[in-house]
Amino acid sequence: MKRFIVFIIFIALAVFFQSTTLYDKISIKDVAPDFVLIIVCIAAFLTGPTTGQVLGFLTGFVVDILSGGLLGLFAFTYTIMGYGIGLVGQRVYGKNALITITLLFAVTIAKAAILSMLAAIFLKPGYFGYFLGGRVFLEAVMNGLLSPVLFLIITRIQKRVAD
Amino acid sequence: MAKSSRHRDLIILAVLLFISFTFMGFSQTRVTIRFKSVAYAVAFPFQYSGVKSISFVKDFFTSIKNNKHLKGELAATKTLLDEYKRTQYEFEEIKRENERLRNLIGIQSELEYETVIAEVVAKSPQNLYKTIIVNRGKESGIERWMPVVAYQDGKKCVVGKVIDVQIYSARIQPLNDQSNYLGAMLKDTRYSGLLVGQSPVSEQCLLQYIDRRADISYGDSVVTSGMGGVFPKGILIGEVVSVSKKTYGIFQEAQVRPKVDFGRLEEVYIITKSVTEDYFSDIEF
Repeated sequence: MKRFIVFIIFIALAVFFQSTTLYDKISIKDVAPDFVLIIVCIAAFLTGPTTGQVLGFLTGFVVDILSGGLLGLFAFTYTIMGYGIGLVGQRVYGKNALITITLLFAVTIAKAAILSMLAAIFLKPGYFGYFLGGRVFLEAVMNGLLSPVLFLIITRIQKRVAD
Repeated sequence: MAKSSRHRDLIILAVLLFISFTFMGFSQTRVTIRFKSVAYAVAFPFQYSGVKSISFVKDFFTSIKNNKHLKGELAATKTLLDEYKRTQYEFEEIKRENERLRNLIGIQSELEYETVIAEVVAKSPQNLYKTIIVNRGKESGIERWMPVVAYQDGKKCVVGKVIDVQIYSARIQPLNDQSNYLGAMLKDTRYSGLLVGQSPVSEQCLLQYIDRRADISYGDSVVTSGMGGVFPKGILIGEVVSVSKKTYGIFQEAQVRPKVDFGRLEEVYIITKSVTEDYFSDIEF
């Protein structure tokens, strides 16, 4: 339960931060890292697919409401991310920086692909593939590089809370 | 045991994905729209508090950094203000003279539209939808679809339109949003077209269905055409950055860079009432 609360707090901070104009200041070529995705993935990686997918769904739902866009879009995407990463976390031995970098890179690309597919169905016909542009790879690199730092911070805080 | 927990996970996954998909499929129904509005009304105070807290910390460090420049800037600003007051007085004089002359030749003069100033308090937390949230809502007379403008670098320019209103807040869809459509025209040649947003693919907008005969150049200004009934005519949208003309067809397209810099947007003006339209604003004397 304590671990869940720690993750909720981190996710809430990430959502608030990404809602501020301060978030634009850290972007490169209009692309900024997705802290919400990183934290959801770290949470799923540490807790497993059950908690991961529920956390992903709730986070995505909140993001959908705050974005004002299609309700269910990010809920759907983050649920899949949470489940997938949770499964990987169960099977991978050891949790080090290289794994998180690789995972977050792949997850960002996967997120773009899922959003692209859903956009083609529900938003604009022919939109498929639009997300798979250069900007996505820049975001994937940013997410990958930031993930070890956040992973270290979250695991340290978790350990303290558990103790 | 492991197999049963795996089955349980798959069932939970299927249920959550089904719920998400259902929401997406019924997104345009009244129930879902109402649910979103209510949910946002509940979430907004938390978002506003969180955003304001983070902004407070940011402003605190910024103010420490800027402290030494403030005195000099204040003196320069006061001088500038006096100059603007003089210019304002002269402008009022010219405006009165202009109205008098227009009345003399029987042409209705252009009147200002009423606006409500709103502060940008938050934006959507994802790159996909770049909606802007402001601190004015129904309580200030804001309604859905009201046009929104801003002043940047001394020019009035289009920001977007209101798409959702709560009691004390409103959500604005920026003009470069993928779902945004706007009647626009080239300021000099007066050829009109349809401006479409392209975010998140591009921060620029696409001006479509321009008559092929229009002579368009890099840097040409694009303004609102007043068609569609949302925006008053003549408000600056942006500048042409490229033109696309196929060898066939009766139309051409242009990429338009919005004038407004969304990264520097702090205040917007929501147009609540257009007093009248000037149908003769393009007649030159």
